[in-house]
Amino acid sequence: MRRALFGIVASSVVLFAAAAHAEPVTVRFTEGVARGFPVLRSASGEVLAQGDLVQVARANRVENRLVFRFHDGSIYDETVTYDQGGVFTLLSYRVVQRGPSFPETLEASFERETGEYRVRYRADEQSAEEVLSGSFEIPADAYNGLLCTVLKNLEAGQSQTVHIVAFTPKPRAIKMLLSRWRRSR
Amino acid sequence: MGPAVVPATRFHIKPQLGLLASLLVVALPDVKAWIAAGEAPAFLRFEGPLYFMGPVWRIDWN
Repeated sequence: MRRALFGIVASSVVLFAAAAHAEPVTVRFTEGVARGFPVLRSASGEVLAQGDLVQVARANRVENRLVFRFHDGSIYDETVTYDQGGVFTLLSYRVVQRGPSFPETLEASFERETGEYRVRYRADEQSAEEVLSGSFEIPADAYNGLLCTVLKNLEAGQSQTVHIVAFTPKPRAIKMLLSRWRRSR
Repeated sequence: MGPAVVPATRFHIKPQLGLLASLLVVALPDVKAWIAAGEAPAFLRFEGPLYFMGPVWRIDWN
């Protein structure tokens, strides 16, 4: 049921969203080598997972991997490769999510150069695994795993529309509006 | 050493759902991100689902 709703919603997003203008985000601050250890918490503040972020930059090409290891054994593992020559361009993306913290087991990836995607998906423990693959037109402003990098590069007062590729389990581009609220904290 | 006060910009990340999707999805949670402002902007915090229709989780540095 959840999966059916997920698919309907994602399809509706594609069908009813206003025509998307693909506009990559201009690089104002280049990314470099970085290592960090983020923490993932519930809304109530309970620590759910420890993260390990590794970013390696060689010229304009950057690879960023973020792994969250949950206390319940779940894993969230996301690898993004992107180009930062002039504008941010997502080159490849891979995500793995599995374990009790996730309702569905998913391993999904796509590459811009080939336009190919591959998804391994299991709705729940009782379901058979599905493997999907094919071609998908990746929007020029698709920023899976890069939203915070993009936010750092917005001009003051600028709002930006970008896309995220959601796996339903087929890949679908979802339009996202990024806007500033106010200075705080 | 006490907590440092960091000037930050808070961002709102909103899926642009169409009419039918808006009717089907009762409430998609707000996604928020905090970025340290200035000449060297840095990620401070993210609040939102890690996957579509997932719970609101928070990512920060401690």
